[in-house]
Amino acid sequence: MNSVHERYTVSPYLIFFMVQPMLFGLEFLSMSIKPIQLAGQDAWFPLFICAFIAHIVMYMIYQILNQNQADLIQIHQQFFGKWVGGGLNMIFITYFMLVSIYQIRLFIEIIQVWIFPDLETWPVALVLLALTYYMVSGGFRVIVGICMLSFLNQIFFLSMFFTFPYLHFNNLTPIMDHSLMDFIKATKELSFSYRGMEFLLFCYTFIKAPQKSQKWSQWAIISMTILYLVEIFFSLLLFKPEQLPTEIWPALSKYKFVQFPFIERFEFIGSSAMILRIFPIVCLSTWSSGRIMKSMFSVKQRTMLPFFLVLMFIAVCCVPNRKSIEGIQTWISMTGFCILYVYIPFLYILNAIKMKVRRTA
Amino acid sequence: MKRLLLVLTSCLLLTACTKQQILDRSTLFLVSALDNAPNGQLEVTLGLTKFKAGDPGSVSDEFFSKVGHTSSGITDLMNMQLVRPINPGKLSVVLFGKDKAAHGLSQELDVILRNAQYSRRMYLAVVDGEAKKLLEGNFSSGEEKGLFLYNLFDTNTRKGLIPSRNLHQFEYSLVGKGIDPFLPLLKMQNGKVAITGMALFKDDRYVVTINEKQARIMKLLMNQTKRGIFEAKLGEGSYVSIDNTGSKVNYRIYKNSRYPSVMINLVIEGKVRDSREVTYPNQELRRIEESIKKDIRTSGLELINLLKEKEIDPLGLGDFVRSKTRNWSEEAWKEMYPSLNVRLLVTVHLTETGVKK
Amino acid sequence: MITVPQIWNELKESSDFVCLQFETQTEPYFIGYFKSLTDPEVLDQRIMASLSMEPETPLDDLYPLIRVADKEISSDLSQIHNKLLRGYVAIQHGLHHPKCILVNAVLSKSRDVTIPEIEFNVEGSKEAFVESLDTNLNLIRKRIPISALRVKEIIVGSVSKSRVAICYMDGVTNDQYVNTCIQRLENIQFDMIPDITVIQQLIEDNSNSIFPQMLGTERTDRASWGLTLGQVCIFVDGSPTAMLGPVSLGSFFTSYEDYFLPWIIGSIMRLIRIISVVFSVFASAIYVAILTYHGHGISNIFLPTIISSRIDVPFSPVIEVLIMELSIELLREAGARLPSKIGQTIGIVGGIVLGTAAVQAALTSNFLLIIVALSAMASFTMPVFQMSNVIRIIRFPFIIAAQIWGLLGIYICAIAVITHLLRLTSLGMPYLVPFYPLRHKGLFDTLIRPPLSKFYQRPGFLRTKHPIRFDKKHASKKKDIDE
Repeated sequence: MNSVHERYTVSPYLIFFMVQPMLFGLEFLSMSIKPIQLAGQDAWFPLFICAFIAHIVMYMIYQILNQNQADLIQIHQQFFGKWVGGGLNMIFITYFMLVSIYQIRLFIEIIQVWIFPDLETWPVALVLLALTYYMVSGGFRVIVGICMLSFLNQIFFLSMFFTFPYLHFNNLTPIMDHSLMDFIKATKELSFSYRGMEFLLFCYTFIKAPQKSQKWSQWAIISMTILYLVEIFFSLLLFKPEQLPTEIWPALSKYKFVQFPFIERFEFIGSSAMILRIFPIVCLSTWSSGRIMKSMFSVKQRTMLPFFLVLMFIAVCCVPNRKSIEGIQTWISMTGFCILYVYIPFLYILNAIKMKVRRTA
Repeated sequence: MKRLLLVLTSCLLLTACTKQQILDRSTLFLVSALDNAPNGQLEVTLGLTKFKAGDPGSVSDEFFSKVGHTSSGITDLMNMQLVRPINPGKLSVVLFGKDKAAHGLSQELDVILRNAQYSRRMYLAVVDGEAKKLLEGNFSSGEEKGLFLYNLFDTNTRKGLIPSRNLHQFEYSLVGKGIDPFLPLLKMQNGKVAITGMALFKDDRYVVTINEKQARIMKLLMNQTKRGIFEAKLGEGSYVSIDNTGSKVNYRIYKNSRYPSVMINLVIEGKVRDSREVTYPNQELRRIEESIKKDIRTSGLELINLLKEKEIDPLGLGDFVRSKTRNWSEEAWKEMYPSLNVRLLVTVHLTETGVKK
Repeated sequence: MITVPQIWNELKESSDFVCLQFETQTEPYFIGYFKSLTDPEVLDQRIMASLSMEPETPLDDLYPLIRVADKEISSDLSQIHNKLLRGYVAIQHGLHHPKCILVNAVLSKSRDVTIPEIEFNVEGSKEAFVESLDTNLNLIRKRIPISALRVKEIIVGSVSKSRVAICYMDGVTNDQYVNTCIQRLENIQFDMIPDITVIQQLIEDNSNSIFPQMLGTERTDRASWGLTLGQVCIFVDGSPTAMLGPVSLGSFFTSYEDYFLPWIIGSIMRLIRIISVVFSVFASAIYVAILTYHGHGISNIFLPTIISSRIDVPFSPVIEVLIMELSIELLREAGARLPSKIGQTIGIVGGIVLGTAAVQAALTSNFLLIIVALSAMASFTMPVFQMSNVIRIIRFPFIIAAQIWGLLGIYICAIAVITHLLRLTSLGMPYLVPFYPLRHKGLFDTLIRPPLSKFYQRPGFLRTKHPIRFDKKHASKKKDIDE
């Protein structure tokens, strides 16, 4: 067991607040388009399938971690030796970097489209990454604190109330009017939304009594499923399926219905509040990358951190437009799919075999 | 120290990064009118607001029009005539001339929908005649015309007198299958602007107009309402008016024959408001109910027949049938629609007669 | 090796040092003291009187004759030196005798206990700490007359030699906090300690933060309440303020009057205070953001009001806001530096005359004037003065951020502040507790002020050794109807 001082660990229940924002990235804003295009009013069904699979994957993650009592960095090196394990760790670093680059660039794009059309990419990226430095250098507990803060973002779901006069319940029927193939495709599209659990593999040793935290992780998935369900239902009720593909971020378009006595537009409030959603992911991925580097090459996390941030800064500035952002998205969704639904089950089976061998030996 | 310097310099660098749109240094417009111009061009009229210092009540406006190909290009050109740059974000009412509407609106809608600053709750309307002419008329007794029109639509949709139709709803019924859009129709009447009915669209083209009474019936047939007064003729020169305290409508589909038929079931609850000839309406509730029922039923069926004849479906019957049918196809529905059997069942309950018997 | 005569010679350099030679038949007595520090009454009636009655006695025999409780015989030269400088009288028999009697004749001049001036309450006691450490300890001891109240004294400051007292409840307060306090106090390298705020800055976890990490109070009830809950309380001789620690951000929002009012009223007051702080920090920044970038967000009904109040103002919103905010700060500062009666006049002249004139001269919009005045007032609802300073200052970064990137700037600034708060600790305790780390039992006394009968536990985040305050079962027994 990796020895992490108790002062730096967090209580198991905080894992709920950590896993939830991990799943709840900015891709949430457009997650309802493709499933509804494919499965129409039945999009909730693939969502349930997907949630079920996510629960199983989460169970596998905990089985692997609990039986080894170590984080994935060490498991890799134990299972595959120094070189192959190290290579796998490096793949994870690349993946994490890409995820945070994607999140930051997507956020900047939203700002550029919704609020400041003439805003340059680099100043925002600079400020966001500077803030990330401040957060990550505060340590794991501060990062989890930021995750908890981002939980406040859920308040914006209340804005859905303003769309009530425009809902059409006709859009929910007829039920089950799609073929099996449509469901499978929609399930695959939705699996992208459950990406983010893999971070748990790297912060396992920072949880106080980690076995107890599985309950909280599963609850985080359940809460996310509920949020996805709300989002899909409201998209169905509010828009015609023909209308939806023309939107880029239907979740943000919903803010266009909000009205208060003083303030008539809510888009600029809602879309800049998305900033809360990017920090948990960006912080945790830079932190995990730093951890990996630390345990592999024994470099200080504090020295690696600016290096990663500068790398990310350059990369973010190099992504010019919508099309290239979508390019990154397909790349991430492919890698994420492989990691979550192929690699983790594989690791689980490998681990089970190893455990059996050890027991008989 | 070094770090502080870095922060300060980056702050300075950042200041110049975004374009400011200081509210009182830009020109706003709340209403714009789009009309057809010769050679397939477009005439855009904007009601640019003028504020007076220290007096929120006196907002006036000035109308600028220009002809061009795209409305955003025209708006940009108008900046040449203005001291303060135009900030288009506040647009709340868009009026279309009747000719423009008849030529199709989807191109103009795209501009409005694409812009992130515009609200989806913006009101759209068709003007009987030229929209520019209507705006130039003096109808608001000094009040800013954009605000006036916005409030006109806002109060009337809130009161439930006309079916509400904003940008989102228009797009919804335009893009959606088995449903056609409609917009309120504005007209100058004796120097005042009034909503005189509804302009019904087939796809994005204006087709036919219905009057206020039909518009109200349409409202009843579309969704629940809680307001509105109905008049009914009882006999020779005797009229009763009923206050609608809550009407419910639901559609039902019957698929027993080869073609489906639709039944619309309308239940109205009301109170007697005004009884001109009948002294004791309490005793004649039955008769009043019957006569109102008959009245609404005939005009309702008339309206539905008109819609079928014109092959337009603002009620969304097609959408309703889709939600009850597996593998619904739009083409088949369109063929069937003119001969669709629609039945209308009206029930009226009068609950109170005011404080008098 | 220095001797007693050398001390006499060194101290004689100051003209207020007196070294009397009291001739006897054998060797003379030397009596040294600072006349600026000693009480002449004690000197004359207790010391001189007993000397002149029995002039021939040796030193050890003289000792019991001096009728003063605080006295000792010492040959420790540095102690003699220090005590002389604190107002003791040293008596030596014969110039080369190594021993001295040290008699306490300290002349302590301190003002009387008065009503609190900064943390004024309508309800509750009107008793505030004074500059004398002994009086302050007396006030605390009177409120907590049990043996568990422990006081540790340390001398801090190479020049001022200030007495610092650390009070805590034995068996309640976590030892870790007491030890941290003592250790940090002992490590202080500073010459002059004029006030407790200097100590505060020297022992805080992060001295670069504008947020106070210790809570200064002049109220005796607040200090004793904090001690009972398990906080450490520090006093410094010469400062009328006690310092409580560890504290969380929430403690700065609680006024002790909350506990004196019925709990529902107390909770509402607390909520009003929190809302007013949020308003105070964000109001003018949001004004800048909306008018500069998000003008289309204002509703149609409200639009003419705002624009017509601002259309003649020549400045951009941020300049306008900065001018107004700075002039409010100026008024406040001027009012604070002047005697209270003139201060009031300044308030009237500044507030009413300047404000009206500024609007009439179209230098500012009256809408902004309302916002700025309200947010200035809101910042004064903070019950702890240190925090209301923070609230006033922290507005400016928000205003500048709003100018740069509108609402996004405000969000970024807010996240930076929250990250800072997440990183802060007070004596090692997280500053945002009980919100983060979330302690649901600790949430009890933050946003609302619960009824006192529900206060049977000490706040868990203070990690007290004895978390129960009183027996809950005993306190609240539910009765049936008509029983």
